[in-house]
Amino acid sequence: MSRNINNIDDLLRSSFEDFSSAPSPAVRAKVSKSIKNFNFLRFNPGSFNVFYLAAIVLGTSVVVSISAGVFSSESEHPGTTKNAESGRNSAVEQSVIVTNSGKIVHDSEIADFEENTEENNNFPLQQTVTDNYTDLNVSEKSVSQSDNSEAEVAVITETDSIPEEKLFVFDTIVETVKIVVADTIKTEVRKTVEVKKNRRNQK
Amino acid sequence: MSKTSLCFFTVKNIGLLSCNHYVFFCYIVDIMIDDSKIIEGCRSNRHKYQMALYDKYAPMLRGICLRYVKNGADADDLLQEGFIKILKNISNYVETGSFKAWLKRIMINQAINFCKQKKLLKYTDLCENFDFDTEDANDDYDNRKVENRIIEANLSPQQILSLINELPDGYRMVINLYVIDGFSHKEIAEQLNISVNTSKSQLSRARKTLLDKTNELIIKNKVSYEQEYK
Repeated sequence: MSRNINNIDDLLRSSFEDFSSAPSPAVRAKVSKSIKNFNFLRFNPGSFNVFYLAAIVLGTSVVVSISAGVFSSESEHPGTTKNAESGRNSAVEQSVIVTNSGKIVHDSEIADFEENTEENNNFPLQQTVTDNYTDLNVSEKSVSQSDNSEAEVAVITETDSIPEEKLFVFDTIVETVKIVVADTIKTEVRKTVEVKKNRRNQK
Repeated sequence: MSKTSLCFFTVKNIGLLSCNHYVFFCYIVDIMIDDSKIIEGCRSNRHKYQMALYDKYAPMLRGICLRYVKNGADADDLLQEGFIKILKNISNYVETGSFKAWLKRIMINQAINFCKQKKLLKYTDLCENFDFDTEDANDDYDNRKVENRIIEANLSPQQILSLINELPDGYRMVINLYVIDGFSHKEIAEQLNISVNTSKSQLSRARKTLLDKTNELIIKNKVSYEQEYK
């Protein structure tokens, strides 16, 4: 102990140079457990297990269900977004008639028409309108009009079904997700098999 | 044939050792795996190699922990946290430097953080205008005599550790970092968020207190030894 030790610093240094204290087996068990947790939380292709697969499946199903929900809500409440946007500009809702030819007839125009017809023929408004548009397939819609009087018309199909374009996009997303999941699983399985083969070869 | 299976083969054929001996034998062989293999295994998150690293270096790392925290339970907590940190950072280890030194450095940093978190660091007698030359010169002769007596007393590391643990937290931290682990005052100041002068004053007072305490212990031991043989 006294070799090359001239002061307290040397004494401390030499005493603790190789100082060690064995931890108890309980600490080893604790550390082993925390290492297992640490390894589990760290993605490792070498230890690809059923939990990773479950996580992938769960994630995919969440993505698919969310995207399906978005599409179904779009089809159930079309034009909601547009109304919300126009609502910000203090829009005034008006009842209008949209013809198949795309012509929009506002309340004011109907009123004018009524006045004219009353003056000329004294027919009731609704009958006149029906008479004038009997050859047209009409539907009453709610549209919003912004402050500068530019009406934003919600585009609605007569059948209330999901448009083909949207269905196509939805199908494409689902197909892409399926392909990605299948590829990921294949790749991981391949990697796992390779790792295991390597281990076997090493042995 | 791997080392483990070779052991099994030998044990089975010789028939001298029981199953428990075999397990122990395999355990010894496993912890004898060289560092590069262990590091590679730890990098690929293989539990066997991670535990081999633990078995090989845990006693040394716990020794460091015991110097920085006062009790064994805290040392065990610190060891666990530090070991996980080592595993997290093992991919960053460049194999040009000493692995042991790298492990030590991580554990010391973890110990400092641990003490900061648990608010174990309190600096006593803070003095920014500490006059080192005057204070050291006054006590130089006395200290020299005491130091010689301490060196001759041939104290064990455990005895010295218990004396270090009696020091105030700030003294203990600085004496550990500066004297034993080789940090400079500038590095200590940065690590502990204190000034360089505070670090120097804490060290000077830590040395003096340690010398006094060691001297007391030696005198006490001497008295008890004399009483025993009278």
